[in-house]
Amino acid sequence: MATPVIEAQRLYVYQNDTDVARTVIATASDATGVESVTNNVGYWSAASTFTSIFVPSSGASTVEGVCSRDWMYFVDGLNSDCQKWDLDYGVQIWGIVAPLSSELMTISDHYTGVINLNIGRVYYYAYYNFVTGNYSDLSQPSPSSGPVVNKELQLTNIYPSSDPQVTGMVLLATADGGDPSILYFVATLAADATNYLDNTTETDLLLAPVYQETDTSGLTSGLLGNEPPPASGKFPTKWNGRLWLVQDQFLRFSKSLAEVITSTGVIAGRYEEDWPSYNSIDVSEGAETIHGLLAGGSTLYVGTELHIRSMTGNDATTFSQPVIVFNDVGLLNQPVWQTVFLEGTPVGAMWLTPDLRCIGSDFNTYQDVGTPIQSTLNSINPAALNNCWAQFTSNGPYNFYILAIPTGANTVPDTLCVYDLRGHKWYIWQLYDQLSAGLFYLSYTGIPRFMFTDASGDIWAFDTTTTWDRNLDVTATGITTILTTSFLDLGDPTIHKTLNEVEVGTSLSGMLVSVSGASMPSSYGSPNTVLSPTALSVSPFGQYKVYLNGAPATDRMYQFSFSATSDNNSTTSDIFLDLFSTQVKPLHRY
Amino acid sequence: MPEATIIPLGLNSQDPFALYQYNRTSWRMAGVDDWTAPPGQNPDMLVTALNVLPPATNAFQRRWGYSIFSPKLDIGGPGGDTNTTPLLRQVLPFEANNQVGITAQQLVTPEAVLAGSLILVFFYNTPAVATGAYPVTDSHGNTYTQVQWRVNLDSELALFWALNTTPGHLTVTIACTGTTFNICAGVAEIIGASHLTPIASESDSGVSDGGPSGTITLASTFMFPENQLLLGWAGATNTDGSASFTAAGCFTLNEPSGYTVHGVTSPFLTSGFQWCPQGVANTGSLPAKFTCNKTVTYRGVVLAIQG
Repeated sequence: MATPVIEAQRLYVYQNDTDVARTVIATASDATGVESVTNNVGYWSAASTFTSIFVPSSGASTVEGVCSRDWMYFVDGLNSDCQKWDLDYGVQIWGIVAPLSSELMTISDHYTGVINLNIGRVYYYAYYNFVTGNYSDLSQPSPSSGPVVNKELQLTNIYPSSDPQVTGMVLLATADGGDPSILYFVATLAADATNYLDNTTETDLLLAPVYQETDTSGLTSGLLGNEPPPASGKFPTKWNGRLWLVQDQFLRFSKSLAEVITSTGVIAGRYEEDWPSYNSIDVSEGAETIHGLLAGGSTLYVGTELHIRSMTGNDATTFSQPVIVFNDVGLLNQPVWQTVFLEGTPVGAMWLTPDLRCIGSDFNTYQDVGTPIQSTLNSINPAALNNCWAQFTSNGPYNFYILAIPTGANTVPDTLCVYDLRGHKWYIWQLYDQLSAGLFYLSYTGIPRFMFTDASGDIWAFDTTTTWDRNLDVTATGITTILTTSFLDLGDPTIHKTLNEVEVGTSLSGMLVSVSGASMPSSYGSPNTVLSPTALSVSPFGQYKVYLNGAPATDRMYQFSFSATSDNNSTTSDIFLDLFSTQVKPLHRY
Repeated sequence: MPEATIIPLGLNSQDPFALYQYNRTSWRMAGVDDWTAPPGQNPDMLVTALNVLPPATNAFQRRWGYSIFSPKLDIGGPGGDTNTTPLLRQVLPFEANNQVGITAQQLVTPEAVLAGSLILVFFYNTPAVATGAYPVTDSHGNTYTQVQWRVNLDSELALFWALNTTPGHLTVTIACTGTTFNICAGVAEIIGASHLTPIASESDSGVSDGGPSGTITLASTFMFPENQLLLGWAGATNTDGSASFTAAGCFTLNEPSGYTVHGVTSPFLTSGFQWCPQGVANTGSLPAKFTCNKTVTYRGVVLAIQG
């Protein structure tokens, strides 16, 4: 029996290379702060058990995440939920807050030692997390020691961090003279240390590893600027060796790995957790809100409600200003924006705009590919627009962009608009369940999965081997398939005609066929019923047919509809329709 | 170019009013267009194409269905990321203690059972008769094997299994060939079992008036691989003056840890059935240990099924 687990709003693939493991993470937030199927963040364990990572706090918005190097990073607008998670180490705060500016270290006493300084040195300290290898930003500098002759230096008023992820501190110092452009390693301190007696000679200090340095052009590397990410950030995205967040109209970006490595090879931080406040790019020159990010090769695309913008570059000195590449085809929300592939090759991206156009782009041009299903798109519940989501999925000959939309009064998507990237055609799927979120991914062993969660919190996956919805559950339900032609003139739109029979090529003996007719513009909305849904007959030669003897078939245009529901006799190789044929007898032109 | 063809059927193909055949066998241009209004609609397109796959083979086929799924931590080796964890699909507990002196009892599954499912029939009755004295049959002609039988004082508890061969509702009949009996019985359907027999089972019985007791331990050599379903079934003589078992309360699962226990009871609460449809990692030899939660005379069975 299906057991409600989580009514996910987002699903992510999580990978831990240390453990050679991959699993799925689901997030749901209803702002209550209470654990439930609509308010939880968790993963599936080796025992297939959904295991909570954390419960979103009261007032949390949608929990979004991004996976990078064994850790999953989460944001939902609240400081308390700005966290990271690792399969082995559990939940920790994302980033380390540096010692406060009011927490000033002092050099309070001099003892006999081996330090000799002409001008004096200045000390700094920073917190570190042994598990992640991350360091906080620097503390405020100590006062200069001043000239020193054969002394030790007693450092006091070192303030331990209250963050449980902090496993220790690192004490750094300038060379004699107090030049802060290079900070050398002095000592490692315990996490609860409040003082330190330094007796490091200037010679030893200059030979010590460098944890922070600034070159002549002002570029820094090391732990300066290792600030936590903005908790109010949205749309965490990994692109070009950095993590990116959107904070209002600004793009915020973390350091890169190169920016935390110093000239002595010290990796002074975990770049995903180090967000200098100056790593910020103003996106819009007007009233515009960022709705999502898309990493596309060497380009980062920024979608607002009005435009699609793009930027390139490798670091703060080369990042271009996000410029408009597509006007007036803005983005509805992050989940509908998907890179699409054809036979494994990226061919562009697709998304839904706030005015319900479905756009397809090869990153150079775009077109409104959703026009053929505009009636369906127009049925989206305006109150639930942000619940739309999309996924790209492929399976054998099929390459789909699947757009899930809530129609009518539904607030959870109940209709899947399936765009075939090979044939450039749309098909509509309606499942027994409403789909709150979906994820297409490959298992570590290369098995493709397209899983989704429903409005009750049950977990399902598309299964190419079954002809049922809710397969394996006691509520298993047959799939009703319907094809309805457009109004066909059957060769001549000006001639009234009658029909003799309709032959159908199908393997489904339970199919029903109906026929409607129309001749006037006013009658297309309420066409004449020529044949109500009728079961197939078997002709003397074995073909499936329906006969229209006596049916009121005198119209110019006809519409044919075919329907069938899967049952115990159904197989995945069933042919729903491969032939449709009708005998036509023209009547007159008037 | 329209994918339909027109085949004249009359003798004079130039006669505009001659009989003809409108024929379409190509569907590669067919997709949904619910936006364009008639009469100018593209004849190759469809107003509705619901729940079909694109015509990759030039024929329409039904879309994919979907199944119960449970992701799992995939460690990259064989057996990773599977949806074949055995599931207890349906359970029907049945109580017939008020039907004193009957010779046969029937249970009808609330939902249709699937072909290939493992059917478990468990019952608790008085008076005790003898092992093998209860033929179990069903409406699908499945063959039942007795897995466990436990007698204690004047009552007994038994467990049978069969592989279901035919889909559809199932009527299970438990007969007593020796004498009449008072019975509490149930039937369960399990899907996803890779071994079509329970891979291990044990039973135990006893009297415990001083507090919860009655440990049943699967064989110590029994290994706990992944994807396992543990089942427990207990019956008790209600002599402690309280209601008997509660849902998921007939046993406490002591070992292994990490299971979520589910359960049902019979309507008259003199017996209970519980299950733990989760797997554990292969951590070596590990006995499953249930503790009977009654302070009374009890009988119980546990078994494990491999997914």
